[in-house]
Amino acid sequence: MDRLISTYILAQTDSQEQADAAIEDIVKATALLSTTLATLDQSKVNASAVTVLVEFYCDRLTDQACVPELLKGLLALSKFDKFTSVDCIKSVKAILALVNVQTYQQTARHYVFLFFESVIKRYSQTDLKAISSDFVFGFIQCLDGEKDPRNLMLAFTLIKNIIQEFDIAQHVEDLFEVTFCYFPITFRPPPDDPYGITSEHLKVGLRDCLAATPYFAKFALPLLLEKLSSSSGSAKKDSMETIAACAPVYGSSALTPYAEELWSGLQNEIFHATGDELEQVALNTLQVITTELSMGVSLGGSNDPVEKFLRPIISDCMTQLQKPEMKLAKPSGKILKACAMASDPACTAITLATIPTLLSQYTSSDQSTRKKALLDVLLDFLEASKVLYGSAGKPTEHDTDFVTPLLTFKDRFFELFTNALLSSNEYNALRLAGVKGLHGMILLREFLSETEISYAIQYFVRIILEDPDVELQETALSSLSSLALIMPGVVRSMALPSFFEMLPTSQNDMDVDTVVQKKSPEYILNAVTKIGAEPTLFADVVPQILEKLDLVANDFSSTHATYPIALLTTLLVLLRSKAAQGHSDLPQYLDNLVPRLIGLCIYPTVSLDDGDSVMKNSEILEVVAGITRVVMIHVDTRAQQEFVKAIFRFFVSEDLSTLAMIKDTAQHVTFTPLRHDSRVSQQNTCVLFSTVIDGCRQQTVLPVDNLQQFTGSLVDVAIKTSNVTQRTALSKAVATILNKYNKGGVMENFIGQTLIPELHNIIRQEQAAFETREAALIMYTWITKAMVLSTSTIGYDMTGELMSIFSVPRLGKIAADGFNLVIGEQRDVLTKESFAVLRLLYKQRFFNHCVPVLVKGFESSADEVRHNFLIALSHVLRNIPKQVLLTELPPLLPMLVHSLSFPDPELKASTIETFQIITKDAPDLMAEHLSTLTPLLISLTSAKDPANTMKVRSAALKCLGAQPKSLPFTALRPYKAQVLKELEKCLDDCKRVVRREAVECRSQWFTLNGSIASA
Amino acid sequence: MTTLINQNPIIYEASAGHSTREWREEDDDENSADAIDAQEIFDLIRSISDPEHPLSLEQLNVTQRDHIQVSDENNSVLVEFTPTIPHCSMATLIGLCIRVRLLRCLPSRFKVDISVRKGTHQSEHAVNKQLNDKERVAAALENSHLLEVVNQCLATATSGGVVANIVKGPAIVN
Repeated sequence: MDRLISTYILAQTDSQEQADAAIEDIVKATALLSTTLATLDQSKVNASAVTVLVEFYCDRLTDQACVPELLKGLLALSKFDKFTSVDCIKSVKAILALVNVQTYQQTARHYVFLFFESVIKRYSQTDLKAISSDFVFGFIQCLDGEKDPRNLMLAFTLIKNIIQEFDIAQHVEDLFEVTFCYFPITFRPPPDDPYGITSEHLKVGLRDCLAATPYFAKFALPLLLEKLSSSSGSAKKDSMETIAACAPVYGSSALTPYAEELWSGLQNEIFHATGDELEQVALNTLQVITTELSMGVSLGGSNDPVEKFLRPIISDCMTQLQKPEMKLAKPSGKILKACAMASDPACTAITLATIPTLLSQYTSSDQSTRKKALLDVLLDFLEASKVLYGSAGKPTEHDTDFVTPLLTFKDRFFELFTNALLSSNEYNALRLAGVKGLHGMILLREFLSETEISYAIQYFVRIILEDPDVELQETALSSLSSLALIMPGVVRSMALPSFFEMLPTSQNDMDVDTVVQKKSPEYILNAVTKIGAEPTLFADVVPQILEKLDLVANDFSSTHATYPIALLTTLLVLLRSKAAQGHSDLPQYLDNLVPRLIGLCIYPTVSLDDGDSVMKNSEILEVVAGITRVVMIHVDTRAQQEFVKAIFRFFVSEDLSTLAMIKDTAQHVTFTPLRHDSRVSQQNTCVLFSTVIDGCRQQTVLPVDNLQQFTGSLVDVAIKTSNVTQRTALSKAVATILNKYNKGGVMENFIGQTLIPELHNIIRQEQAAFETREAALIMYTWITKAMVLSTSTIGYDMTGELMSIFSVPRLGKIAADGFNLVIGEQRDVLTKESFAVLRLLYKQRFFNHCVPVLVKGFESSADEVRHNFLIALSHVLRNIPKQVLLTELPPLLPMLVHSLSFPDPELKASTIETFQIITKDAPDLMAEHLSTLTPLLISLTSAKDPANTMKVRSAALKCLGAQPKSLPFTALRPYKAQVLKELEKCLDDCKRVVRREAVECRSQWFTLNGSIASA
Repeated sequence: MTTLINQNPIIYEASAGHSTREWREEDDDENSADAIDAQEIFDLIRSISDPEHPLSLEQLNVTQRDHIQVSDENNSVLVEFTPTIPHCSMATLIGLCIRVRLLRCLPSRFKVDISVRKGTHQSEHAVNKQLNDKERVAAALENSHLLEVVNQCLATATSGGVVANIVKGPAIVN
């Protein structure tokens, strides 16, 4: 190192002797030295070397050509531990004295700012303070005229630091001027800007500077106010946001002189807002100013700055509110709300000044729209109060010493909102405001008494149960549902019982005559699902529903299943929403609720007469299965193990002795659901059995001696049975077992050597009954799915086998549709949350494996079989993640186009949907095929061809309608006239849904270049 | 800031952009024809923006379903609209927007009449005459500036007319 320096200095002296010829060499040498310093391990340089180097560098700053490199070297040196405060002062002074920063290029200027940043960080507390005034002055000089966004970003942070660290009193105005000249920022980054500096970055940087010191107040406020009246929206927004940022720093005394101007500037932005965003910013600014002024020292009574500020605001708003149904009333309400939210004094002042007038206006008005508009303003006040004084049921971060000034008017408010709500012949929006008002009052902290809350909740219940208007019902219900979370106690005692009272308890209750006055049980139960998820409420709901269910289970016949289904669905919906909210009370329902429901389903199937009972209804079984599933997947392995044992005792050991209800019944037949020749009603309960297996964790052991043998027996029954419900349920059970309990491939031998040959045999046996072959095929498909999910190789072999069945008459179509089962996601079986083995990217792997095979198969098959390949392909495409689809698509397009000419509506619609995805996500690909596709799509919109069902027609129109938004104008222009003309026919389609799509599609094409074509 | 003709109009409740039409069983039936009715026309025009305010014609009560008469068999439509104030100079433009929207969205077999509702505008007669004169409408649309204004007002028009969901029982949501 030392040698390098001495060589350099030597070279330097030498070259100076050789006059200017070697300027370039000197620059290069300086660059070499500076770069060395920047990359050098600093422990190699001792203190005296640093001092020598600093001295040397500072002396050399007179050499303009070298300055950029010298600055780089000084920057590097400033980071050295041995760079002392003396070095610091020396170099700062040298730079300020010798370098005219703005005459250099961007990189050099950047070094200067980086150097300042480095020294301020290290020395501002002590040594630089000594030359504070000079430094600030010099810095201002350096900055003056800077335009580069990268340098400005740095400079803005420096300005903030300087303001915080140094005494700027001498230079406030200069510093302000050199800063504020950038306001408002109009910078727009060039496209693909590598530095990633946005105008928002600069705005925030500059704003932080302006808001860094109260000294700026007297300079900044007049200028900011001036910019507020600018015509550019972005400048206005920036001004308002800057005012909002500065107000807390500048303080009340600085703001007071400008109070009136601030209001007149801001009100324009609110009353004549050009957009929601600007309006919101203006309101926010207004609120911040009000908050700040509220902290000002009161000079006694009416001279209080905040009151003085608010007086014109209140009077302006109240003038507008004299005509509350007009457009400017709403912004007035918002303004009052924003100011009231600002502070306790502001809220009190505004409340006292406005509420009495508003209330008397309300009383004297007999026009509903006017009343409604007035209530809306009161709602704004409630909202403001909630924000400022805290809401009920939440741990408060607010000062509890303050209470809302609205308390004075509580009784009047309660009366007004209640009357508005209860006046049944009134204007609906007024009644809605009533609901919202009561709701808002309940939400205020320590506002309504418990009795009043009870009343309000009863009113909501009354609206929900008795009022005919849907919107009112919904609003009341959503209020109740949010209150259920905050104050479950009141809802539990005041609301729930009324709902359950209205539910029928027998078949007689369901008779039309009695129901006609009341809401339907389905409606009431729907309401229960909205409020009953909270644990204590749910604990109340369960016994109530079970009680109703017990009553109707005996009374209702299986044709009257709607009500019991609704009862059970209520439980299911609530359990699901509890699961989604992560409630911890789910597991307990596996002990009582689930066994009870399963018992209710089994019981009627073993009665001696096998009579008609609603609990045998297949939809009921599905819902009970759903309930079982959601509870089961939320309990641990131990609880599952117990439960599975009990269920297997019923279903496998055919032993019902532990079932509570059976014990009391003397005579019953045996329960043999897992046989192909048992009672149909018993067979149907297999739905429950397979759900239980699906819900098992992988660690939960199925209580059978030999799992393979057991699985084989299930397969057997599934093929022999003529009951489709049982067959599907058992197929699912088999698939789940093979998927879940195949750790280390223990099942693969069994599948490959026993199950597959067996099933294969039956499928190919042409003389066997079709039903049996179909059953075998379905089982085969399910097993394929189980294997594909776990990406086991057997799965792919089985997929190939499925394709070879495409050519088998009648079975071919079923096999093709089987692809939907194999790769499509099932809601209720083999899912991630029910612990199935789903390997990463199994869909992609499946796609990559079978698409080439499908394409090849398509090309080499006869026409009548090709159809099946297209169906299978469309199922695969529909279920594949979009990213995979788009990359693999181009070679498939000809095949897809082909499938549009097959007379199968399902296939057509699904293919068109694929094209729509392509339009949106791979517009270039679509553009290439427009010449073939556009005429085809147009022909598919014609109702003349019966294969173009309304689904096909709508899909085709949707696909065409997606084009103008995604494809380039130049690609579409040749088709514009044709599309508009041809689709005119669709405007007269006999189906309204199609017409709607046609209208939507055509309006997209009309605006394609903003001109009107054939209209 | 330009001054507005009507600075402070009354705002009415609009049904949140979706049609108040309820779903019927026959909507899913391929073979049953759905006649074009007043509700359908209303859904086509309710969400057109007012040229002056960022509000829909429905919100300003300029269009109402009850002021539309349709006969699908006789191929006729009559739309009456109510300007926000009797001296509203925007009335013709609003009428033109409705006219263009229906031109684009209804089968050409319909004869569409558009008029200011009786007694709601000073120069009712003149406005009606303009709106129902084919050639004057065509001429107006030749004016590219005017067309742009119309297209702008129509840009929001498609948000209407979606069938409202009706809840029957506790619905299972996944």
